[in-house]
Amino acid sequence: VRCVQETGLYLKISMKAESQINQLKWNYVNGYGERDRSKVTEQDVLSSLAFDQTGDYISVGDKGGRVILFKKSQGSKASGKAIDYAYFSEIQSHESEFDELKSVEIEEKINRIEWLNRHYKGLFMLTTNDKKIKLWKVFNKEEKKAYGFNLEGTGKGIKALKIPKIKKGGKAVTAQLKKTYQNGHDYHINSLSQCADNEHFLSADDMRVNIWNINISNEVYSAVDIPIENAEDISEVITSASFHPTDPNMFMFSSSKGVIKLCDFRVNSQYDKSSVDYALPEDTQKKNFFSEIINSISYACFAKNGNYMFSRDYITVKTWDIRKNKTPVTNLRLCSYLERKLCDLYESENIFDKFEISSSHDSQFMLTGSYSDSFHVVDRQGGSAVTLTASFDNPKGSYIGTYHTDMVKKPPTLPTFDFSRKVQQAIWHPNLNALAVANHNCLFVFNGTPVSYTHLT
Amino acid sequence: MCIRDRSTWDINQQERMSAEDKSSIYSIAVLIDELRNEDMKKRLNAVRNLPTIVQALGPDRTRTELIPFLCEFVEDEDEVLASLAEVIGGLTEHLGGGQSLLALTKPLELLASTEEGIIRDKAIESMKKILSLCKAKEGETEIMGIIKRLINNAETFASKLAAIAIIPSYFAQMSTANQQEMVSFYRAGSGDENPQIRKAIAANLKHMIAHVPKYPEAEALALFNSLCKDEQDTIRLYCVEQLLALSQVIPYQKSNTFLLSTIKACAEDKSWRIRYVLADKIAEVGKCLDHDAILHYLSNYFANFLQDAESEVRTIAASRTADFCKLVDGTTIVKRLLPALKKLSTDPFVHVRKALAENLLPIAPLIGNANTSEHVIPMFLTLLKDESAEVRLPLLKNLEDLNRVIGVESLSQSLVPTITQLASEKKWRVRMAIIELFPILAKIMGEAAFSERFSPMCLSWLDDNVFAIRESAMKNLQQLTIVLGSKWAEKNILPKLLNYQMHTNYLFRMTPLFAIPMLAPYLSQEAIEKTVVPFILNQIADKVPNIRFNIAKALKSISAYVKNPALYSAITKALAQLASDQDADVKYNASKTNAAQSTQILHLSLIHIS
Repeated sequence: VRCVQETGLYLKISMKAESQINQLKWNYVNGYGERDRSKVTEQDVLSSLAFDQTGDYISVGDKGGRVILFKKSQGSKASGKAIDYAYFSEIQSHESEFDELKSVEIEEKINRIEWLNRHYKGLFMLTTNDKKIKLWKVFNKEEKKAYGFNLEGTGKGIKALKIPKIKKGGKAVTAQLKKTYQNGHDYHINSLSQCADNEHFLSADDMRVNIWNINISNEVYSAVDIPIENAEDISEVITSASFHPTDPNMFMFSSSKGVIKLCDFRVNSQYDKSSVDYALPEDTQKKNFFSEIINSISYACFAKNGNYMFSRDYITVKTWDIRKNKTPVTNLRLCSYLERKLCDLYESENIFDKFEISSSHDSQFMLTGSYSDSFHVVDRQGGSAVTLTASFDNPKGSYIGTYHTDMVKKPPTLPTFDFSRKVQQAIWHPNLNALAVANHNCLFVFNGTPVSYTHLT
Repeated sequence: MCIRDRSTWDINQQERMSAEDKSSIYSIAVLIDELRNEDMKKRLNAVRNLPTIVQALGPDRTRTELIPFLCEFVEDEDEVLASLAEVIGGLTEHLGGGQSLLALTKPLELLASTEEGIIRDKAIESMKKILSLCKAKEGETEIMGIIKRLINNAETFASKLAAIAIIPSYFAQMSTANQQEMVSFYRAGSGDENPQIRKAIAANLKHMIAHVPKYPEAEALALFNSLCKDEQDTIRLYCVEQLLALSQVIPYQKSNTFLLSTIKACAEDKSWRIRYVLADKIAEVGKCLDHDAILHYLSNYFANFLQDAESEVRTIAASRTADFCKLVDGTTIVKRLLPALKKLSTDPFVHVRKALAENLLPIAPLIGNANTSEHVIPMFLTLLKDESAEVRLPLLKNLEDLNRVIGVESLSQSLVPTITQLASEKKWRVRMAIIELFPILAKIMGEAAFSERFSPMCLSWLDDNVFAIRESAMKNLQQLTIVLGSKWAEKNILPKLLNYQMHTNYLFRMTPLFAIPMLAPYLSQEAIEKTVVPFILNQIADKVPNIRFNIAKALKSISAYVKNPALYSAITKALAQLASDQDADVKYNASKTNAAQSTQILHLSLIHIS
């Protein structure tokens, strides 16, 4: 931990040597979910996606308030050594509710899932809809049945006390609701993130970042609370927030103004006195009607090693070295193919679609989605961007092309433009080259194998 | 006849006995069954009644049957388990000693390994309680077996957390070999990669330090040093309390430089939470140091805390100021601390100013008259004008401290407007608090000065539109009467109360009926008989029933202070009239009063006779 001049923050920088960047060739492994879209209801649409810390489980949340768990399969004959998953269990995590006080319906849609570190017996998972965060424990419960009760059957008086006996049955996967963290948010919760101290997690909505102790559901500390003087004047909202992966004192949040704020609890209890902004100065020359909308960061995350932050807005992806807050390492106009269509996208309100971003296990790549069933794997330096599609229509030919900034000047594009078919969530396995990609109601798994640079082109 | 009767009685008695017996067996049987009921509330109730079940079963059956049954519980709801963990600790008294006692540790061992902190903590507490009852050498093998199983449980690290907490409570009873093993377990834990383990070690190290020299001093210092340098500040947070524990067991001079260097590290820590903890415990830390060290080092750190960039640190430091100042001499306070405090009186954070306001006046007796006038009074006056009532209020609460050094009389010119302002503050809490202050003010200022400035105000609250305020105003007047005496009350309060008789709103006509019984014990005989009672009797024809029944109530309590028999008969007559009132409530209260009064009259007549 040392003080970094430019930012003035004490930053924990991982000094672990990074392996050489290997380009990866991606293979479709498996897909789950109803293929016939006419049979799919709105409730079946996937709304969140998460790997657990070991990568043995994937959980998928949908708009119906369900969380479906997939477990890493032992490797079927067909797939060989591929990293594949199979259905494991399902929980009805949230139900739709009505807030009588505010006369609004609270949807059951699962906005976010976060697995807790596995130091305990069983799996622990936080799930949230717009307002209520729940802690679930999923475990193998042994069935136990008691018999030989004192008052069983006999109408006669009791002569002596008996202690019932226990008969044990088989084990079954059970989900137990352990805690409910509520009343901490006035707006819709957009993020959940566990702290590296294993004891706390944060939740964020448009105006607030709350820190909870996992064990305490009736107290909350608001680390960030943007004061609202007039609800119609709100000019900046929090779009995502996350704890640093290894340093429990640091967390960041991204805003609709295209800023990432990195905050340090040690410096001050007021976040504005302890945070540093990572943002590019506004380019007034290029400013147009859409600037404000497309500059809003839809999601930001830390690289797994904590040295970088990745952010996604409507058009670009950026990599920030946490030691340098003035200029990003990478500022790639990944979806520049959308720029010509902004008017149409505004008309159809697609311009407000939020695409998430996630980091690879080795912090070398970022993964983010796009339209027409496609998604992009971009290396941290912005040197290459692989475009793939995740759909049942053409699983084998899902590879669309690679864009190398230093070799081919032509930016990536999509084969067709179908704005109804979008990949908003895609995540990377915590320690292997495998991806889980959500498209509408379907989950797709891809495996990556390292290839030499030249082989790809 | 007689014999038959007797035998019937015997039979009845027998039947009743066995029925009682049966019903108690039955109720316990129900409780036992309910331990496994589907309804969580019933299970919870049964668990809470475990002592009854254990008493009925006796130690042997409890050990061989009930405990193994309870061990099958550990997948129940958290609430049931937390209750179970707590209740088991209370079963000790029903179980004698030895093996039965140790049997209780079985379910506790399972409960201590759960991931839920509340259950674990309760299980740990119960476990400690049981271990403390185990005599030395008794069952050491079993107990060490439990501890070692907790340490080595690979399935969950929660059991390790439990072991860390339990070890210090049994450390003294362990064999040397086991002690060594635990020492190395603690050492390994202090370097564990899981921060929760390190934190548990940090939180419990002070209990281990208490075992020095059985717990090696070098070991204590090594762990302390390593935890003080931990990268996580939640772990460094414990370093101040460990230091306090260390200074209890390690001879003073030897550790002096060591103490100072550690305190310096905490005082200059980059994380404000560490500085906060030191500022919080500054007085206790001061007690471990000699006078020189306090003057040269600690008071400088403390002055820095008062000017810390983090408002939380300034707040806690300000709120420890009165305690800390007792450790240093007047000159240090004036030279080192007062300049810092002066800045705080205009701090942007209200909590800081509030903490300062609470601590400012207690300093006055420590620095004497001249310094108080020069330094404390200007700050006092600044804070007195503070925009927040929460800041102004504590100043007044500590006025007695200031009064001891320099008379408050000289300040009354600046005090009066503030008090007047606070008394009309929007926040009711502030108004209530200021009302409570008046008896103290009255004591300090004396009757003449007080009634000149504040009597009208105290009386004006009786006109408040809110009953709660009128009620506390009455209580205040009662307190003031105690302090200032009956003459003051008769001169100031009574005329005001009598005026309410003419009020058009019956709610205000009620005020004297409530107030008079409260004041009666402190008024003179003359005032009661000549003014108060005739006044109440005068109102008896009020057209509002509510007034009439409150008259009845008031007469009841006041009659205890009336000695004149003529007046007594007047009261009785009035009550009789009310007892035949049209309104049912008036009737009820009047007749109730009558009963109370007749005994009173009886009592009175007896006195006259004697």
